[in-house]
Amino acid sequence: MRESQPPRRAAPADLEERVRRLLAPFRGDRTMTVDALKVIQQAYGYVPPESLRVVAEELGVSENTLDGILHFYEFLFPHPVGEKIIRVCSGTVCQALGTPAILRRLRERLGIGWHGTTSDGRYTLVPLPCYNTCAYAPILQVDTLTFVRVTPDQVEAILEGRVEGVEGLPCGDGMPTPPREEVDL
Amino acid sequence: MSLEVLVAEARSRWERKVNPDRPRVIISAGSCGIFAGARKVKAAVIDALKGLHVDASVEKTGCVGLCWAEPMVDIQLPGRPRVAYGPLTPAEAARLVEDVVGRGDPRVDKALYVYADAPYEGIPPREKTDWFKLQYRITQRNVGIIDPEDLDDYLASGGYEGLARALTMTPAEVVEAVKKSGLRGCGGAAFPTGLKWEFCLRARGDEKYIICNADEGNPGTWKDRLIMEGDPFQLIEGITIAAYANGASRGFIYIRDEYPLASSRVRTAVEKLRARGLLGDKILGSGFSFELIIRDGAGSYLCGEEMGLISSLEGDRAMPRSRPPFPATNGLFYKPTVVNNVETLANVPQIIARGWEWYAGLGTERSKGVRTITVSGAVRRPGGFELPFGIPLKTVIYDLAQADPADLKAVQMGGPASNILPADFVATLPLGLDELRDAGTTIGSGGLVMLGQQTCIPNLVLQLMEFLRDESCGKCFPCQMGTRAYYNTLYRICRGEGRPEDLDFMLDIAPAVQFGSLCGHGQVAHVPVVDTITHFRHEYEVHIRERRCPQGVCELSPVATAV
Repeated sequence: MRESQPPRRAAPADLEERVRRLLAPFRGDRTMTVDALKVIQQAYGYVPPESLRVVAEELGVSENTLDGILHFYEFLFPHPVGEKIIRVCSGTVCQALGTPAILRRLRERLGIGWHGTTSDGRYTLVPLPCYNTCAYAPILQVDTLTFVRVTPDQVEAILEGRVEGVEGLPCGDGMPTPPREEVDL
Repeated sequence: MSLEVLVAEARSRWERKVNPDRPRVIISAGSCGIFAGARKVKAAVIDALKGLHVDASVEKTGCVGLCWAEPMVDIQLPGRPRVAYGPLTPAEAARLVEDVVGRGDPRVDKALYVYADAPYEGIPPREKTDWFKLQYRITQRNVGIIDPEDLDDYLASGGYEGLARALTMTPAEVVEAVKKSGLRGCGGAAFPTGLKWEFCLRARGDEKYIICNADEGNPGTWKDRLIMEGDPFQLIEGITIAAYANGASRGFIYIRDEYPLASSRVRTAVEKLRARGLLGDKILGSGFSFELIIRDGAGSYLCGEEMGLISSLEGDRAMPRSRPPFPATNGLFYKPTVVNNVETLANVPQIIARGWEWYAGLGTERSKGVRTITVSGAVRRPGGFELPFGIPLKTVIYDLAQADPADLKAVQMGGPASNILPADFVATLPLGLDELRDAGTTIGSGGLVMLGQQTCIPNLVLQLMEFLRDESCGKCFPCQMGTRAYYNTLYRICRGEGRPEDLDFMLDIAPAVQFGSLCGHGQVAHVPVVDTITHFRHEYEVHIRERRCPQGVCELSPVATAV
């Protein structure tokens, strides 16, 4: 029931060479598949399907296995995504305190549901699997900006950048842990 | 360097820190604090100090568990005790610094408590406040007090006494001590920790592993985050003791990707411990070597399931394997493995340092020790409290978290696939493991989610099922199809297209889902559905019979509303 209309994009020409370079630290270590895919996602914004053959060769796993892993983990994107990622917490507390109404507003405004990308390619909406900062529910994130105790009426203003969010704590972007100066106080 | 030398140095540094010759301002910097605006508060504090031309130290600490009081700031003046203030806006924080540091006014109006044995200027001592007087803090004992990135702070608080003592014992003696302490897993299943260790210790294998499960995926539970963000050293000491007791030379800590701050603090802690010889080769000059590897998740709820976590560490989809064989004999890379929750392991250092008799004396006859409970949802004061077993849940809900009895409808106990019970019933129960099991429920991972009157129960269960359906790994079909069937049925009910037989259908398939599923995910997926049909049947019936949502949460289909 997941809606997703990935815009078609041609694979970059230097993909193979670049992916091999990115994967150098993981060569031959099949336990690092998830981290390897994260590194590729960091470089491309998603994991291009063309890269899987290279990853399979470098790590010594089958392409099929990698495809399964890619589609399994929430933070790995198998398709190109919008310029900005909107995440709305799907945890129990946020659900009880307003996520359904927030999603309704987002759908009215952007015309997308979970895993959808706007036709202009600006936004992709994905669930956030709960930060466990439930005292501040409901939580909405636009890229690395976090908005807490969001009301449905704020959604419009958040999208237009009129609400002040909290910078930092960039999580759930499918990226390896950022250097600590970026996350810490 | 021997531990005595390290501790002596750490103690003298700590003494200088807590008896400062210049003002200290300590910012509460957990994820909760940062979300509440701790960064801006810190900037405002620094600006205010500059404006005063005062030389002060600005430090940080973890979240003490009073999530409603964030952003919090502690201020200590030379020769005075440390006072906690909150909640503060940046402007209020600047004003506070000007008043307290600049003019010596203790600002009783914004004060929460003081770190002292006696009241200071009318501010109550921390241990006498409503929030702390019932608590017995073990895993959280340093959280909110020490700098989570300063190893000396931890060593000065009695850190690594547990490991030092464990190294004088045989592994079997350590396992025996943990067994006798009565410590049980804090991740949800409440399996006796010592017994798990014994299985692994006895298992034959050239290599063994210890895994710390820091994939705290249950919404409404953040006890592990408090530990990792507030006192990662105690957790790592616990992992090291567990490794020694089980004969593991390599260990993993699997941290979920949603916890970047926890991950960063644990990484810092590991680096500092390595530099001091408390992790790595020949720890504390003994023959015991241990390497801890930190791995980040990628947003899969199933990674919190021990077998799923093991699959993920091996570089595969987080799909559980069938048990037996259990991880204790065939775990990571099919080697004997112990998988323990963060809070469980964080209890271990104190159990070894202070003796199992001390821990076994806490709590009740049947549930020994303490447990951190996090309360959120429809409450005035959400937060985390480490409480001895036996405390009535009524106290936790109404006194500590200050839920409004008139507004409270239901309580979900510990995780998305756990009991949803009427608040009145939960208020009659004590906090306990076996005590709650007798009442047909469980404390699970320790997260209590309070649901207010405005919550539409069928819609909430629909959202829970969407989550459980999406997170079902799909390996075994009772879970895959069961969660799907639940979701589809609930979806129709919440659209106003429910049929009278829907409720019986959902109850009928419950045993198939429960007994047919491979792992805990599917085995409990039916629980919220069955519970809410039992206790809140009228809400479903209004949706099905009258095709309306009393709370106005559900989006009824146009066809349904026309009927």
